[in-house]
Amino acid sequence: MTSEEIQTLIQPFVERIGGLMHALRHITLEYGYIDSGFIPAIADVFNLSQAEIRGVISFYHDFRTEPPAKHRVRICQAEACQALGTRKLISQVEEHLNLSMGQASKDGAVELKPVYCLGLCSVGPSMEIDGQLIGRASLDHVRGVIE
Amino acid sequence: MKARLSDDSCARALGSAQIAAELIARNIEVELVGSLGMHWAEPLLQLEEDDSVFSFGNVTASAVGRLVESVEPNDDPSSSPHFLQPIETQPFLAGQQRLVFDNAGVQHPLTLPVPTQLERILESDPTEIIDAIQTSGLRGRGGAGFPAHIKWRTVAETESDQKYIVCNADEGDSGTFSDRMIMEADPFKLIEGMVAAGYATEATSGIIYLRSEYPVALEYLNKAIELAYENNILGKNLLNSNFSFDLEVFVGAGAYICGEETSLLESLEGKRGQIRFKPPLPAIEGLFGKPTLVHNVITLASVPGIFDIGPAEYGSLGVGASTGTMPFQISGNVKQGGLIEIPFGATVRSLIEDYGQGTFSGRPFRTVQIGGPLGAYLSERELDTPLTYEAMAEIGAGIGHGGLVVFDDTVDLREQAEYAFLFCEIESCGKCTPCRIGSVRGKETMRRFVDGPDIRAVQLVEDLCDVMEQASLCQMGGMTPIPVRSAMQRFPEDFSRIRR
Repeated sequence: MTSEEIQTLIQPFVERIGGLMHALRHITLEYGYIDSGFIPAIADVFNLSQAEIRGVISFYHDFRTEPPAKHRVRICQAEACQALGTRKLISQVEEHLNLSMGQASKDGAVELKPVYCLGLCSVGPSMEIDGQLIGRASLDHVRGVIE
Repeated sequence: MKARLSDDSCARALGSAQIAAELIARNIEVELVGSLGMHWAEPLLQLEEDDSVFSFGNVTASAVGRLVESVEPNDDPSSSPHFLQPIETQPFLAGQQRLVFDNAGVQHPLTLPVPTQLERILESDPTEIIDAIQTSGLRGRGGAGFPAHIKWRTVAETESDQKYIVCNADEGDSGTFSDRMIMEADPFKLIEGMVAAGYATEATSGIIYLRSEYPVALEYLNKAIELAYENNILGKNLLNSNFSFDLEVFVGAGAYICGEETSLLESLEGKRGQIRFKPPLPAIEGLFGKPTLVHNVITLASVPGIFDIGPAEYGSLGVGASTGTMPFQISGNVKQGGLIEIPFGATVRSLIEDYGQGTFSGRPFRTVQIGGPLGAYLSERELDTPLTYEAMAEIGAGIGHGGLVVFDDTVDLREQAEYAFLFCEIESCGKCTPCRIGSVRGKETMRRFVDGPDIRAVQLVEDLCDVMEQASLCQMGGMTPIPVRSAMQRFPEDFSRIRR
């Protein structure tokens, strides 16, 4: 990706309500993350300071400046899933992946992140692997994707 | 043979796509529908053969072949472990009164509302619409329970060249999923409600602020909005009236605090979702400083139902000032989790025991948290409290967004109290000190109880809760003490047990 590509991608959002949020979301959808190197280009398109762009990026869980791992596991940590044993599930997954919650493996193969509610509270515990929602989740679901 | 299959997030998360593929491979016509709210039976499949409909729950792709055979004339579908009582006689649904969710699960989610209540609404005077909302007694379903008509009238009476209707679809509370469900099952209900609100308040622009954790809802909302434009339910001179209304979806980026209305507005302006001081109220100075009606999804989606049965009739449902129906959501450690739309006034016990059928684990019930992460943990002896705003306030709890999360006796309330502070720490916008710092101090203090009783820690938590409650700028910090205090008051044994 180049600064020009980024600017072409986000130009349509300049006039939209909350355009910067749309722009950051679409960069994330397209590239998986927002490379810090493109912050000046984004700031230029929106006529904002780089600090303002960084401020918005750092506020939201969805925006990241590091590339995502190949496989992305998010496990719900919120109350309804707690009531169905998500704490135990998390420690099983942590052990299986040899990672702590919030970490990514050094080889970039897998990352494990918390999420606070996927709206699947009635079929918990729930998780999301590479964007796929999973209800009544167990370690087997992780094993199925990541050995 | 025809099949009807749930296409709700819950069903998808339990493999409904593979079930659909199995059905299609057998040349069976599949009609996708939203969820009936019987999440305990998802994925739910109905097979129609020779005018008979058979229902199956917890269906798996590998079971499809056998289920299809079982509805053939010479076989017996009721012998299947997946067999369910017919939907019409399901006890889980029989006692419900569905005004918001009347179409959920019984039709394709993108079925146009014909006839639409909007035709009648657009023929009335805007003030009559607001009067009708007042008569209905509708209160905000997002948590605060504020009378809707006051907001509507304030926006209507504030002069401006531009006004907005903002739908708060940032449903972040654990244990709540009614917003998601209506957007996935009957998105036109929400669109109708937003157009009606726009007409009544002279707002011409609507925005749905949808959380990014809801990809299926986004899919359906986008398609529904496109269809609504094609069918003149949105756009210029809609339904051949003089009123024009535009609607778009705005996707959030993972921030619980953006469910707070001023934080949501900041986010909509493309900024950090930090909360604003109030006043000014958003109804007077909201999005870009313009009068803005902010309501949660269910509040707006309740509007068509009010006009369907009539505002007076709607106002007569429920108890006292808690009028109409509320889609309660029951989840966590419960046998039958799902959505229950009933008038206000049923007891907490009836939801857990009659609808929920007790704990999923089969172990004894210990507590239920009502109203999301900022809601109170109740004890067994409070289960006969009716679910009304007033009765819940009397026991120091709230209805919030109508979510009930059930826990069995393996729960450790100390852990839950620590989590309440931790969640506040993670999701605080950082603007005010009581919330930003108080949450961290609270979490640390909670850890002291791991070693057993600690009277000095109790005093610290008390002080901290006082400060957070009284000095936080918004409900995030202001209500975090509710789960903490309710846990400590009702379950003191969990804070005096020696664990190691």
